[in-house]
Amino acid sequence: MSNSIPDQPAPPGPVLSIEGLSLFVRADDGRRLKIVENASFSIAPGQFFALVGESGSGKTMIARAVMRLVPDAVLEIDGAIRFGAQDLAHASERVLRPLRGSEITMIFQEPMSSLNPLMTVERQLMETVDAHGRFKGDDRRERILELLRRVRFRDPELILKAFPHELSGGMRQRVMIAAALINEPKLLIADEPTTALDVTIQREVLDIIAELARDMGLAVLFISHDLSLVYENADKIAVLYGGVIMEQGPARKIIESPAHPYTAALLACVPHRRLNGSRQVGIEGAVPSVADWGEGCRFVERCGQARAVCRVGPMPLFAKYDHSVRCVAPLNDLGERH
Amino acid sequence: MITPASAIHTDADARPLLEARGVSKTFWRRTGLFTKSAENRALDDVSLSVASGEIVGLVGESGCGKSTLAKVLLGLEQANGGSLQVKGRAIFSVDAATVPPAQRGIQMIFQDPYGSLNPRMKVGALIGEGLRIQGRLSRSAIKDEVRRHIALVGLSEDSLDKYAHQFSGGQRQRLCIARAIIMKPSLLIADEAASALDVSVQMQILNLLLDLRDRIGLGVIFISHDMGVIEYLCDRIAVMYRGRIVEEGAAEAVLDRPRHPYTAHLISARPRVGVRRHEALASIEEFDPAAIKGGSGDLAHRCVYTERCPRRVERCSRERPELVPDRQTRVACFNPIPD
Repeated sequence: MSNSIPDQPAPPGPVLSIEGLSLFVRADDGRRLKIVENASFSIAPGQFFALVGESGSGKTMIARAVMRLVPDAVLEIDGAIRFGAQDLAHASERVLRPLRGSEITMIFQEPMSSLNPLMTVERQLMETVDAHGRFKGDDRRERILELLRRVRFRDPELILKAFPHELSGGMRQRVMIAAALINEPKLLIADEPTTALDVTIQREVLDIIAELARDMGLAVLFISHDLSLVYENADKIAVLYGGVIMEQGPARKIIESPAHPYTAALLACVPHRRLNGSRQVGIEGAVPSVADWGEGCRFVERCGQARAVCRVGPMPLFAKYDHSVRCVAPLNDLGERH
Repeated sequence: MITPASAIHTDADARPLLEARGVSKTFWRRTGLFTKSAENRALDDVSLSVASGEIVGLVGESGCGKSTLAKVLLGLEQANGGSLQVKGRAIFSVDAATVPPAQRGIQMIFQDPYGSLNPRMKVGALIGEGLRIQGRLSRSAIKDEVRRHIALVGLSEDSLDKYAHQFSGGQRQRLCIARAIIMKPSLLIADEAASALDVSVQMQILNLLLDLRDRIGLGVIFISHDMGVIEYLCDRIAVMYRGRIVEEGAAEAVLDRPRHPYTAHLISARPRVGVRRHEALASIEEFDPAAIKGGSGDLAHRCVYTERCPRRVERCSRERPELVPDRQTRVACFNPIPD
């Protein structure tokens, strides 16, 4: 499709490519804490990439680092965040500003706090369109209506006149998705956008995002704490624990044959029916806080397979095709040590 | 509105621990200076019973009245109608005085263990606070009880000298549970008590509730929107929609053979690891119970689910389906899903 257009990059190149990303913050006592360590992944056009982790795993900080939403004084970035040919990790505000809201957009957990309660949906969306000037005159309204239709509003004209409080949580989040996609971004970052929604609509909002990613060639970085939720829609999953990507690969492989003991344990935590009064054990202990992370594997205190070597140095990376795991003794053979 | 006694399901074997009958709670909202107030039936003729040692799951989407029911049972909100008995003792009814919240034998734990513990009090004082206010036990007896209960929820005794912020989310929820059960309640209401916790910790809290159920015969009403958690934990399930219980029965029956279309919808919306869905989900409805405008006056005389229901028949919009026994569950539907 794009072959005929000479100034477009070749299709296989990733939209976002993160290489050896480490993030640091300053603790209250002045210590420099590494909250994300050596993370690498890339997202191709049209790909739905889910970054899954528990609280404190660093998933939201990675999302914010990509958008450069946290001031440099607070969050120190090491490594590369490549968006196309640009390295966002060290780009200036002047470079970043036109990208945000246009090339890279973001949706958050609570749609109500992202919408202005005093403005109709039409005015808010119009503002978003005008801020970047891609659509002009009558095209703007057409574009807005088209997006509202794509996020499955049956009567978009009616929605245009509504104020945020007149919409349900799911409808608000769909308005936010429309706003995020209205300027034809290449990358959408979605930080737990369905967590505040009812179960009955969570999955449909996910379906909408996945469908739009496919149709518009949009790369999606989807942040979630719930493996079972993203499983259906994600093309790739990366599992984050204690600031380290423990395992990443195609969604199906991660779920059906997890290679990291943490991924396996996390899957075993999804509650099932108890047959004859049996119990699921879950994972002992609690997620360690940044200050308690040791030298070795971050999961070592809670891991059933832990050995002495797990406590020293960075964990080796094993990879086979596009499935990789950071563990001394992966649960299934991933061949080459890298 | 009181349901006739004949329509109320009671277990033949034992007197239930808690029995709520026809409980209603209506909120009135003034819409303008001269207009009539709008009526919102948050609870509409709700009957629910819990046996001792039984965990009853209350499910439904936001705005369906789950938390209002919890508040009414606890005494944080006053019901407009109906009655409540705990261990055969009348707590409230249309013609009797109301028993104050502290004497009902019902305790509650909340979703956010961070927001429900005083950050300035040491854990020992936090857990013993209820007993101290009650003033029946000596200081040393309270200390003993506190020590016993911190062990019961799986925390060590040196926790007692720490502050709440020194604990992780899961541990804090354990503290909340200790604080609740030290009052020796007959019934514990857990409102989304595991939802704010990390997946890897959630299971510990669910198992703790199961342990307490087994060891002290605690009855539990577990409010949740997570069907997986409900399936793991509950003996019985009540499904609520817009202030009414639309289906109720043994957990397995409700989950395996749902009769009410809303129950079936809830179950189908549940994500399952490793199970990909074959057909598309039913489309999003542009309707949210929490955002209903104006009154719901006509709702009193029809089914509340008609707008979204794929199985609606003509009768649904002019008559109100009552919750009646049907095969293995009780269901309020004129056209239930066939087996």
